[in-house]
Amino acid sequence: MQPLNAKASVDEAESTRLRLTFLALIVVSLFVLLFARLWYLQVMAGAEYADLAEGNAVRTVSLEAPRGVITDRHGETLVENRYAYVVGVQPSELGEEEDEVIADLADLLGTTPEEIWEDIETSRASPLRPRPVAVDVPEELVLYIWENQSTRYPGVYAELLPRREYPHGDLAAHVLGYLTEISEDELEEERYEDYRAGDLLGAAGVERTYEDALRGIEGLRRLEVNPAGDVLRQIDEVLPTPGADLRLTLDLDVQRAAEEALAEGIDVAQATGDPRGIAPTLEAPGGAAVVLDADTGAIRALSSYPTYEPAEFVGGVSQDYFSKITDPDNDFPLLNRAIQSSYPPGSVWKIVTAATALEEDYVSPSSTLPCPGQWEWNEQVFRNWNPASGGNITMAQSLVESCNTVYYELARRMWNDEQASGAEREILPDGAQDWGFGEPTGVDLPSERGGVVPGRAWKQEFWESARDGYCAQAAAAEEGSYAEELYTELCSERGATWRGGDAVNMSTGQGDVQTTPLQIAHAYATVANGGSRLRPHVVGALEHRDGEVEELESETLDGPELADSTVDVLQRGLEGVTGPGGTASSVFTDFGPAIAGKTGTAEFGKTRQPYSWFAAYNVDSHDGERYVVVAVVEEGGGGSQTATPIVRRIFEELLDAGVTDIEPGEATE
Amino acid sequence: MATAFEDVSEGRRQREAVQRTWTGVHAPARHVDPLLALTAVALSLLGLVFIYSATSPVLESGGLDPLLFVNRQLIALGVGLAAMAVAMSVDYRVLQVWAPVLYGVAIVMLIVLAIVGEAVSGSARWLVIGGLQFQPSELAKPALIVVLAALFHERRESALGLRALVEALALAAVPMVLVILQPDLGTAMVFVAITFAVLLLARVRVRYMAALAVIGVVSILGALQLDLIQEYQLERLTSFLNPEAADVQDDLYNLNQAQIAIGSGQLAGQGLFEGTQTQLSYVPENHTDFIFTVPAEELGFLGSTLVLGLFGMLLYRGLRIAALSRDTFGTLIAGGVVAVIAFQAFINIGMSLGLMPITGLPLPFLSYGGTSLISTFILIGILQNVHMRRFS
Repeated sequence: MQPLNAKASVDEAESTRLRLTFLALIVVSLFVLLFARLWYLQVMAGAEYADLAEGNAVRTVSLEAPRGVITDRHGETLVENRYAYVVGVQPSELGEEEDEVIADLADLLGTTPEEIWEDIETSRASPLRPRPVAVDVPEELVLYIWENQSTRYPGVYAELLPRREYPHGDLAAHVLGYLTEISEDELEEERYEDYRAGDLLGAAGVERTYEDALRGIEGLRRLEVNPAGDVLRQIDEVLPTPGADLRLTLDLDVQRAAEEALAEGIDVAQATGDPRGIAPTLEAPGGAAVVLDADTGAIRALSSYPTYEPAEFVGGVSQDYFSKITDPDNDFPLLNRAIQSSYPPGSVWKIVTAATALEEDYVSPSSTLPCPGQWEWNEQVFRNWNPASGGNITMAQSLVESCNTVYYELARRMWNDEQASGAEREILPDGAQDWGFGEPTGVDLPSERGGVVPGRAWKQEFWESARDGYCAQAAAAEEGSYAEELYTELCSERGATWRGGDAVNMSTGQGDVQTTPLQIAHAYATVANGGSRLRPHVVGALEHRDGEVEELESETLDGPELADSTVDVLQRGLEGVTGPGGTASSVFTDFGPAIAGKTGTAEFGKTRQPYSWFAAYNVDSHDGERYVVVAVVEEGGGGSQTATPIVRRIFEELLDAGVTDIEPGEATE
Repeated sequence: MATAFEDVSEGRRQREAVQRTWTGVHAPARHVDPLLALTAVALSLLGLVFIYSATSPVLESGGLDPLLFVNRQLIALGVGLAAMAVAMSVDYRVLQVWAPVLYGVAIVMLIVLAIVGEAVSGSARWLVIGGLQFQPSELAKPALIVVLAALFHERRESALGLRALVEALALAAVPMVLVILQPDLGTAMVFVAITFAVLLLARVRVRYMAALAVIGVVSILGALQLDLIQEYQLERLTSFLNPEAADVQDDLYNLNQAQIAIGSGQLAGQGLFEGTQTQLSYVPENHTDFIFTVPAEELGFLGSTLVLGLFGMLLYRGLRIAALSRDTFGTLIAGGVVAVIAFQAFINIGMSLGLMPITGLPLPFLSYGGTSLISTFILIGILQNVHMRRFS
């Protein structure tokens, strides 16, 4: 053993010291590394990690706010919520033994595996949500599923879910609308930033327009969970705010009357011979009826035929049903024809031409115009519907008889003046726009169409979009044929010209004019109430859950500003329509209360039967109400034939005049 | 005579008084390093608090005594302090004689372990003797330090020689191979750190050290090439570099949760016993391998700094002792101890921070585990021993 107390030499000591310093430097640099990383993690990126930690340990459970209830004007429930136990299947979680799981579930629910598979496969529910396979499942089965979910029923969920219920079935379906799960595209929109995948969203009707009010505010419950997902405690809770209830302006009884009348009228039309001989009977595939309070713009009924069952959308509509109601072969039941379809209005339009002519002094209330059976302009012959007509008549009488040739003459005068002034203003198109035509009325329902008010600018634009088609037709037409001549003309720059013939067609609601049924009701309300244009609306009040009732006031729009004398002529004319010599007289001969109205028979191409219109109002208010009622039936024949009896039936209900069967009216114009 | 006697006895008395004073002043017991002792005890006590924080919620929810792990660690701490006292009491120079024996015992135990060892999560590290289980590799650390220090002390005149170097490497290679067989790559790396520190302080020539480093890198690459390292070890080591591999998802999850825990501590921490990552057991193994996440989450950057600062103080005292040692043996022992603690602390904390691969090395003083705590205190005892006897 060597002596241990031998001190190292000075050199050695220096060298050792140097090497110790080196070791110390290594240790220091390692610690500096740790400090730098700690500083980054805790101080620079700390807030992000704190969020992650919270995300780990805190589960936020949303508490669904009950959606608002929808009632008619008297508080009668149209849509309500019911909580139901729903069994759903999430296919992606079924696992490998999915057939056994489904067979087991079918056994439990008393159904067959095939039916469950069909429900799963045909559901349009989002992939994130279980597909509902059974509703109103007894509670003991729900408990059984809960207890055995992890072992026997992976991917099977039993949940207590609020479901929309429609106590009156398909009544007012187009006004009420339905709910669907929010789509991926919608989720990206800013206005839906509060929504999550799988949330329900009003997709049509007032469910859509009043989505924000109906939806309420979701509540939140924050829970602390461990890594296994067990809930350890509730951190806090914000209760949901239920959505506001909607009180519609609809009247349940009136709505039902309008729907029944429309459906029955269409049934009758489909059994009525086609006077034009295009088909053995009238096609009458669909139609609409609107009842409007003339003094407030409140919609009392709005129906569209054919219709659909909103209840089918609850829990996710089946693919089959959705295809059915969007299929053209079934005439688009989902379409709300009262506001989403625009048609040529035919003679119901004449009040617009008459009012414009009176206001613009082309005619006075007392002066007369000839009403020949046929009328010529530039060697083109235009016929009245009634070739036996003749003599000079007033504007009021022209409405009674629906004399086209009077309007043709007015159109010619207006068109000539327009041409003479270099088309600085367009008399009839401008007049029509004052009534609100060409624009949506602004009713509180989604996807309303504005119709078409044609004119020079419109024609130019339309021609530019259609020119290629015209030129192709011209090229394809037989040489020397009328078609070739016509399309070659349309293919040229002359095709964009707003011709006298266009103005003549427009004066009687033919040609390119298009209106929605609601726009016509809106215009007739203006006549009925003496000239005020009131925005149509379907919701009367929002009833918030805190008891506050938010009444929605009716809104007066800038109107056509009609002179009293003009209103008087229109009213007298319309009142005469249901009287002797009027186009609707046959339908209203035995009807008690005085009705003012106008028939319309709108041509819509040569191969289609005309669209049948009738727009009317009760002359004397009934229980303080003056109703405008409009009915239109696609390919329903003459206005007096199909639409007029429907309107009569609705008035029988509205005015307590005794309900009669609908019979086809005498074809007039 | 009486006076003469008195004179004589007076002189002796004076001489004896001087001697007493001298021996008193230089008595080993009076030269304990108080800062070293304090930091070691402080770290251990903090460890008890962190273990309590990490384990009590789980124990409580399981209906067990929330102090179960703390109590066990407390017993280990008692044993550790006693072992430290023993390690301090015998002059460390005696170890020079006993080094071959100590080393031999450690090697035998590692061999026994290799034959009968119980597998814990894929690798056999535990030996059970009379109902007590302990890790032979923990004993091998001081044994390797001592045997290398003794070797170079003996060869100190020819310390720069190649022969001593080869002998040292042979001595280090035996336990290294045995722990790799377990397989426990982390401990093998600790042996590398020990060997490096002792060679460095023994003044082995720089060019030899450099050559060794090159050989080391080449042989690691060769081992990888020849599949000498088992796949799971490799995956574990590289999981932090390669998050896509499916097999490393668990490690990655642990690492991810550890980072969240540490980061969410921010500057001042979530509060002791308030960290959700710790309290709700989002970080697995947070009483052993990932113990550092507890102070980091609950005490924040400030608390982490305190822990790192205590380690810094401890290592500073260790290096100081290495410098003050009266002989090369003491310097080398102290350097080896510093290397073990510094390396393990860096690897373990670096792992929690996502800087280092997951190796399963405990954090000295703090990680739950009796053998680790006891052997750490033995190392501290050896350090104290060198410090205490720097004059005698």
